[in-house]
Amino acid sequence: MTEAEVERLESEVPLFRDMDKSRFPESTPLRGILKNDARVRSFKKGDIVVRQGDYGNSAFLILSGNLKVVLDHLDETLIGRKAPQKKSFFSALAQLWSNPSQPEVRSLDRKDDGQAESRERHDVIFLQDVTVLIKDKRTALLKDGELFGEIAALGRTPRTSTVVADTDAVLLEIRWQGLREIRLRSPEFKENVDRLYRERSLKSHLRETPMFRHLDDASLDAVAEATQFLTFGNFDWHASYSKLREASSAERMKNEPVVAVEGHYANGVYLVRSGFARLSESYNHGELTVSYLGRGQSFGLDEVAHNWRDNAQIPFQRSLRALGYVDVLFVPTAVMDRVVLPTMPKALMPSSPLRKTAHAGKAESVEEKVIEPEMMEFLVERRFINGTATMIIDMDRCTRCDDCVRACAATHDNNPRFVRHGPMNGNFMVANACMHCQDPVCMIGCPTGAIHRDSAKGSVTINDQTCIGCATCANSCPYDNIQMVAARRPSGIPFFDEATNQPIQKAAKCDLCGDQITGPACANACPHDAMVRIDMRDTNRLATWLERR
Amino acid sequence: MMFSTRRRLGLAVLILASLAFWLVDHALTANLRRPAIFSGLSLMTVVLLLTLFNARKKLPFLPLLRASTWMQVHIYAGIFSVVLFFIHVGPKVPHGWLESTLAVLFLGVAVSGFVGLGISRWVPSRLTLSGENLIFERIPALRSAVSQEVENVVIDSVGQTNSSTIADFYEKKLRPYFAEPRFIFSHLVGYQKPVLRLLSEVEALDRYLNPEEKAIMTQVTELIRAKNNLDMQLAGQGLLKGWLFVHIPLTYSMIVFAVVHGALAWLVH
Amino acid sequence: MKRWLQQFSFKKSAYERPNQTWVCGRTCSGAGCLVGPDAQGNCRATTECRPLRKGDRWQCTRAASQGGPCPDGPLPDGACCRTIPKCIPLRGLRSWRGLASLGAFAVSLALILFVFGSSRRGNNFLSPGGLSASHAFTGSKCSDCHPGLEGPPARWLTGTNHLATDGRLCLDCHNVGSEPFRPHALPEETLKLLTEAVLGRKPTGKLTASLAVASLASRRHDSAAQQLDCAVCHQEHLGANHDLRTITDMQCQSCHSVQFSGFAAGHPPFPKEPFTRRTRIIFDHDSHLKHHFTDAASAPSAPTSCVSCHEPDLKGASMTLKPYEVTCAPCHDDQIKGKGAVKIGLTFIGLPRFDDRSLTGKFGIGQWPEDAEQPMTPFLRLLLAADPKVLSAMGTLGEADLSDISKTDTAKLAAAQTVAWGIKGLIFDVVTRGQDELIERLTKSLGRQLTSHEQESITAFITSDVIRTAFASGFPRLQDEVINYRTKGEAADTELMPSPPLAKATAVKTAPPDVRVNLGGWYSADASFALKYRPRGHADRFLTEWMNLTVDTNKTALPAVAGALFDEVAGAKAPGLCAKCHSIDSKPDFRVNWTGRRPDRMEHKFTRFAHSAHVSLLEGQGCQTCHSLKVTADPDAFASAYKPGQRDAFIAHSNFGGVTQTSCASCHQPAFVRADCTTCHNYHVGRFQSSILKSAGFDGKALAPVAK
Repeated sequence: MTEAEVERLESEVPLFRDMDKSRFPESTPLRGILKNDARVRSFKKGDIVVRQGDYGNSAFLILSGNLKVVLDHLDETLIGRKAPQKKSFFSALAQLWSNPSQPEVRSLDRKDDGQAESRERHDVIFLQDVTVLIKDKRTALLKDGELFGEIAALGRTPRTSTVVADTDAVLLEIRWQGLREIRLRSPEFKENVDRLYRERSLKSHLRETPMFRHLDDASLDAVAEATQFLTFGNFDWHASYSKLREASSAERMKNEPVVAVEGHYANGVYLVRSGFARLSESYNHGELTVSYLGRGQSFGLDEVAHNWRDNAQIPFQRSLRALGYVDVLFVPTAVMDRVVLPTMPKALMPSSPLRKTAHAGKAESVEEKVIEPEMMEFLVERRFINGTATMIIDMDRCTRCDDCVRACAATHDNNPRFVRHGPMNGNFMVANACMHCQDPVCMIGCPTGAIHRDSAKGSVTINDQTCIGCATCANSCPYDNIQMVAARRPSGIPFFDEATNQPIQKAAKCDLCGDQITGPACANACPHDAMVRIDMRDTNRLATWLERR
Repeated sequence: MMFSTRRRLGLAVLILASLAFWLVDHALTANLRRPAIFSGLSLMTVVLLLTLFNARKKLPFLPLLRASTWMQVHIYAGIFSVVLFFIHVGPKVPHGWLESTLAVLFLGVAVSGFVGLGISRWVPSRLTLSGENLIFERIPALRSAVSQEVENVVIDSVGQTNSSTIADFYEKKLRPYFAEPRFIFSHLVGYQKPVLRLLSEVEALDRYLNPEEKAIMTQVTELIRAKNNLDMQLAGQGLLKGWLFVHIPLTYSMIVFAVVHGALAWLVH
Repeated sequence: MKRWLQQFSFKKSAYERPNQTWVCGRTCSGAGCLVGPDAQGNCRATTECRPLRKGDRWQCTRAASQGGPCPDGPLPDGACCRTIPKCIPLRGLRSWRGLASLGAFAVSLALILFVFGSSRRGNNFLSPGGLSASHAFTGSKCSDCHPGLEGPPARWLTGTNHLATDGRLCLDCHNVGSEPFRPHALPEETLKLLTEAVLGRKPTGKLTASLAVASLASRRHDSAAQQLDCAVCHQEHLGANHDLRTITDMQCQSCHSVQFSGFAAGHPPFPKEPFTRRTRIIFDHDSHLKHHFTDAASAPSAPTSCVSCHEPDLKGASMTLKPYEVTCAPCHDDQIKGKGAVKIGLTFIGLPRFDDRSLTGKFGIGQWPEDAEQPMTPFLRLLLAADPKVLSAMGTLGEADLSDISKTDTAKLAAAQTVAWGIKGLIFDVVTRGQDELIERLTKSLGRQLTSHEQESITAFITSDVIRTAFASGFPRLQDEVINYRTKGEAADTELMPSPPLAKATAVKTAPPDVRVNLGGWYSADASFALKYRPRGHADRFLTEWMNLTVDTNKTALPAVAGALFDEVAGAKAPGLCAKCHSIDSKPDFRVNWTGRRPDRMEHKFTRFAHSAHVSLLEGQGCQTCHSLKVTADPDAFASAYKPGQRDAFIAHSNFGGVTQTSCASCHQPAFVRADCTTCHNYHVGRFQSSILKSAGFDGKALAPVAK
């Protein structure tokens, strides 16, 4: 964006015009944010601006024109979402002979490596008969000056609904990095965003939460009204995490911002909106990590419900700490007691949280599997809980045959995309392979947006074409899962940057075999059932896998 | 599926298949119907299936079931092939050069397979317990780094402490220990004595050391342990990779002989 | 505090690439270069950086990860000052494994190709195993038995011959009858009949599981016309000690429609009447043992046990009869010699009476003994029949009474005349030409050449003198008459010749004519005009051979005459009483059974039993343990099978009951004594000479030294 455009935006758009520019530090002025993290885009009537289910990286401010939000669910194929581009059987097989013999070969004439979705090409989704498509659906109008898409951008979550241009429209697209920066510096903006959240998504979010599902609209409004938004920890948590990596666990825990403390009055229920929180309980002289909470999980209901039921009052039985960064919704006890608990169905009512023994803290149902405390500690401590496709290797079964590595190389033009080493706990190794984090901090600071979330699947991928090899992502990844490689000619000689005479670097990492017909080749290739790519949100599956005999 | 369930299922299928083929062989033998052709073709098919496992490994980009499924099939089909082999050969020792060679090759492949399976199930957990898990290809580099580091520590100690105790010991015992892989065979069989003896010698040195030197020696001891783990990893991973140097070449040989044997038997039967 | 050696940071630990064939030779020392070897394994190390020209200065561009710009900086000409020394790239571990596999493959293939290329080694190398000892004389070349495997193995595939063994080659040395490749070497029709006969039979015992499974792949549904190559059962290449005849019971039953599990479990029952053929020698064990030998005279000759008359053959397999002299002679010798018999001698040639009143003039028969009263014996008819004229004359006459012929019946008169002159001619010829005349005539009449043994036997060494003497008084002018009749056609008028007077018995010590030949031989009674023969005792050759010659009348030129002759010699009262003990068969073939059953080396029966091997096991009842004497109500039952004219050998009433299966099964059972099929059964059945005699031919070819 040119200086002139920035100038115009800053002075003409009410949102920016009214901001207190002095709150921005000199290193990152609003002007700079707008220049680097925003751009003006025009949409024709009928264009789809955001699509339900896509992973959004940016929010939109309407500069002119009207847009429509489709409130009803739209069929995926109708909104132009194609099944992810997979190789055909033959082109998959062709990898047997067409893979280069040298590592990290990039062809000179390659326009698109076919692995990453180019932002430019897919920016505008145009559907011929979009008006017909949404005719029967419930819609809401968005007028100029309004902001949308901020929830998905800030929470790094999928878009909740589709937005279509109702007239020709001009929008300012702000990437989430910039959005976050503005939100941090401008209380009005934060308030505005929070207000929008309360208006647009809070109720649906609450309704998705089991404990509020039974409420009628009026009661839900009352709950929403009382809900507070709380943010704990540092958004750029990876930097501090890297610093504290070598510290002892107690020290690290001390640095984790506390959300709620064991033994304190149970003042309400906490719902995790994004980020992670550690659930722990005191055990003699230490803290025992019981579990971790992610988006959609709650804390405190057990205690609040117990206190409402019973005269004998109890405090929080566990502590909740932000792991790096967590956004929570806080529903105070008063509202719970008054609105929620009296009408709560028996089945939902939690049993008493009082511990039977020091250890068996968690209310165990029969099918619920428990992860051993040591392992839990390890996963939480190292933030592996962030992963949606974490590679765990059972080293008691792994014969070090490297079939996984070679399978990876065979599916990635003769290049492995992970290293078969990594931190270990007991016999389980979390290998240095991209975990495709729920909260991918690697994406912070990418100057070209080459590293992005696959809009369809949520896996984090790097567009090799647009990667400039700055190594920001590799440095940001707290798990050492991104490598910098020198791109080479088919002969094996690296490309050299004419300006620096240094080899051209590219960031490389696991793409979860997005273009392969097999899914992740590494786990498929393991002959000894030693490896799994696992979503850490599914603790039950994780525990089952860790315990398998 | 739990491993135990899978094992039970595999064994059940194996036993049923063995029984079925034994009965068919019995029925064919009892009716003078050339059971060797049947069991031989079956054996050839099973061997083909077994070798396809290798092909599967070369085609990770095709949806060809999980490699672990193949591995299970490979194991049980491997055992089954031995059953078929004995059904095919009968209680007699094979006659003739070609057949004898083929039989020896087959048994070589089978035995190496069973040994390999044992190694694959037994060695990894020992490696896990032994210490830091390392990538096999990096062991030499790490060893050279460790030996460099220990040398630096020792040389520095001479200047720092004005004593040659550590340096003398290093020259006498530690340099050869760090120079190359040691006690590989002991590691293979899980025999700890050589390294324990070295460590006890280190301990014995204690009486000649002042506190400063003791601190250095602690550092050296850690490096000895690290080097010990390097050797252990080398031995264990070498074994894990080495048995395939028998299994696979023998398989190639066996297939050549088996094809000739099969073709002759088919043409002449 | 544990010392960790690895660092996971991307700056310290790049991707490990075990998929590459070549790795930098300095990887081991931890100083691998960034570029690495090329695809052929050549080191590509150059310098640590590519200096960059900034204005008029060269700048070091070494990457920060490699230590940043070096202190020395680029050389004045813009080259990097830090040249990386070249390494010798190493193969990766998997590459070595690939090479090892390839090597093993190549070596094996080379070995195989080498073997395929060379004839001799190929044969030895590719043989699946040693041949059995009995076939070891071959075995140096595959093509000895596999016609297709000629020459070096490489040529086998291109040859036109079938590569499998060819059972026909086996037949060069082995003979199993005319249908060698049929099941049991039996013709298809026989096999079908046998199959149909058993189809209805239900197996008595339960099938074992083993057999039940085996029967799923049974061959019984295969075509009845199936051919079985020798190698189906006789499997070779199993080493020198392998018995090629090894076969299991289940394999035996492979084709059988009705299967059973073992001898004691389901074997078809033994026949109740095992002896479907009547005994060749008509010997009623029942009557002999019960009724004979009761008188004082014969008591000493009584047999003491079965072995008094029976003995095993040389192979110990079947039981045979001891010689007549040992067994029957003591009682029956005199009978055979005719002692006390009605008919002692047998008339060979006798002169009949002709009607001398009608046969006169032109029907004259010349001189004719007045006392000739003999019937026309079959022998005489046979001898006369050699002359076609006489034969037709005899035909004209039929059974007419020669002594009373109507004068008006000229045809008969002429025929009678011809017959009479024929007789005279016969006697003349025999007297003048002797035995040759007899043989010539008999050869003609019987319609076939006679062996010298037959010639000797049927003439019983008769001499012309005997004949002359017998008829001299009846035909005093025989020579003239016959010559005139034959040369001039003159038939002398009939003239009856009176007989010379007989010697008075009282005057000198004389004996009746037949007593005079007590040892047997030719004789004639005075004035009887009959030439007679008295059998010389048991096994008289004259009688046996005449019976052999005429038992199948169809094989003679004159069946009617031959039949009459046979009745003459084989009649119940005929001299020698042959037919009293020797049964006469027309079914299954024509024969007079001169001996009891004798082992036939050509015969391969379905069942065999080694009698001698079992004899020592018998206790108490002896042979009757198995062969029990039947208790029959009808004392004539045995004899009824031998009624005159009953010549079907398979109508029989044996004296003995069947062998019971239990008596065999008491020993022959699993884990005791062999009870498998081949213990008692042969597979190849029928009549054949099992070994083929090979010797050098008389053309001398095989005798010539073999050219090397």
